[in-house]
Amino acid sequence: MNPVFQYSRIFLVGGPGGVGKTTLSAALAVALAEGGHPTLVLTVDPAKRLAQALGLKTIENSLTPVPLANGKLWASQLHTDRFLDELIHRIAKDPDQEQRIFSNPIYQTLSRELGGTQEYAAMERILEFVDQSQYTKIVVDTPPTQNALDLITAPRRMFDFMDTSVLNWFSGKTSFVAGLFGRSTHLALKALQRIFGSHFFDAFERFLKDIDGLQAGFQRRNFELMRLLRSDACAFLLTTIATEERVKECSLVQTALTDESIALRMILLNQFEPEPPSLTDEESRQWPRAAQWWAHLAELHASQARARDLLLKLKTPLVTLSRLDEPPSSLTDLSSLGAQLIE
Amino acid sequence: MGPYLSDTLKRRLVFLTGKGGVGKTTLSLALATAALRQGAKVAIVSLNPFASEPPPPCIPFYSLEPEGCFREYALKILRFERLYTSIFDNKVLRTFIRAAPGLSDTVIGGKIWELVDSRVHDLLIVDLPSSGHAVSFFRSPRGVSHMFKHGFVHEKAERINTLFTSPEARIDLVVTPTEFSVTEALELRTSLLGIAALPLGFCLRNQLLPDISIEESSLQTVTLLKRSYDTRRHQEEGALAGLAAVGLPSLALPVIPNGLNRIGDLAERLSVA
Repeated sequence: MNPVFQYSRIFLVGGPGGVGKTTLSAALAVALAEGGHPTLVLTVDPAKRLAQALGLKTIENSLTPVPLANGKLWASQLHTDRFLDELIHRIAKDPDQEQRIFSNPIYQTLSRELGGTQEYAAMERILEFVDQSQYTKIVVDTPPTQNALDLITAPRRMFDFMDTSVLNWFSGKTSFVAGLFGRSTHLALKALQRIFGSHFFDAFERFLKDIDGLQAGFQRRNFELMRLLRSDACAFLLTTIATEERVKECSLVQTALTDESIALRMILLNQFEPEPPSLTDEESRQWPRAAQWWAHLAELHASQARARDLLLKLKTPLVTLSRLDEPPSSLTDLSSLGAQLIE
Repeated sequence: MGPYLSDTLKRRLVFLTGKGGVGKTTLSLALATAALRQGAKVAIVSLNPFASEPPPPCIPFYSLEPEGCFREYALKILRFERLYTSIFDNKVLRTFIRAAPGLSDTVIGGKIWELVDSRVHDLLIVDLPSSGHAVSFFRSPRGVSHMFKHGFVHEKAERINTLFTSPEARIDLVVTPTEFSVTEALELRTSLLGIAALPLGFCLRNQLLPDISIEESSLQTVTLLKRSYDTRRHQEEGALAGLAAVGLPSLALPVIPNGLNRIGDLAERLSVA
């Protein structure tokens, strides 16, 4: 078994949508469980067949034991709806504060109408399960992000929004920010009111007062999460496919992760087109349409092999998984795919 | 010229949406090339910060990111660079702008509105990064307009909403023949129509297998090749069967290995489709 899978406990499987991230997460979880580790897989919106393979078709969101012959595996859908409400409920000082926050228009917009909280929800869920020692391995299929970094920085962006220094600046309390601005604070506030409108401004100020005291909670969660992500207990695996565009993305993601002091532990190159069985010249003349299909596959293989060569230059361990004729639809399929993955 | 391109040339703003990796960037370039060949003054707008390569110099290209758009926008209102700098180039407010959800999508929407309004280009083709982002992109100006009840941002958001739902705009869904992509396209359609009466246009079925009917043969290699083609064809048809529910006119586009090198071919396909 690759040492990454031996020693780390939490596996974040990141990458864009459609590269097989959910399937690979499930396959990895099955392989780890069969390797003797009680495993939990948190999955986002699995395709119907995969959900059925994991026994997730009826019970949503709750923890479901997966009927593996050898090994202990639980699966759960990572739900992100109304997630922020639950978090506020957990960290609010009292029901009064909770109610005030829920009824603030800024909060309502933040939590329901606007995007951007899904990644945060996914990262938060990880913290919930870390303390549960019955799982020695946790595989997290992450929501598809524009780039992997959105996922990593989500808690910080949320925390930044709740930042105390913002609150203090608006309420004019602090001398440190006032120092930065001097007399321009008043001018700046007026300009902001012109841009954003006074209605928003009032609501924003009220919102900052309402969440007063919660910032410490957000900050603590953010701190714990970053510590976890930077530790050896957590391994970030990037799923990709062999197209020129995706490969360029991988190298940018790697750089961005390094800037955050997070190691990219492995690249999973999925759906790699194998070399097709070749025809002789004589055979090609005799079966021209078969030869035409061969040429198509050979060109596909060649262009993917070029993309893979670029990936190898990143000097990150790379696992190549060949394109499958049928997507895995049973635990047996997942098990054999998972075995290739952790080899 | 086929109905697809002739409809495109009647619009001022065409969005290409769909999950990552379905070929939106390549198709944006091909559609721009096709429009250019008809003499349209066309530009491409990319919202992907990781955009791989800009198009050739004959097609104007805008790569939009929130902070730059906000800066440009605020400068227009505040007029003086020094005032902008004293207000916004500090941690507190940069943080606020970046963190206030929806604001960044809205300032990008605002920049697109301006580009359309300035009439410098006849047609803008917008390459949206992924389905999830497309939904937040079209929803955010609504959230923002609700959140900011008065003021410049509110007015701006309202104007963006009006443009995005007008017949001047069109939103195309790009789909590849996989179950995942088709499911996502159906969800995307539902989500987009749930936001407002957005002008959904065409469904582009991209990266389809070539039509080959492989010979029967006793030679094992031919049998293997035939089996691999038939399996893929079968899967493709199975996946695409669900697309009827999208209820949009659709275009079939073939897979082109190394698509970026063959933009011309794809542009030709789009012109006659």
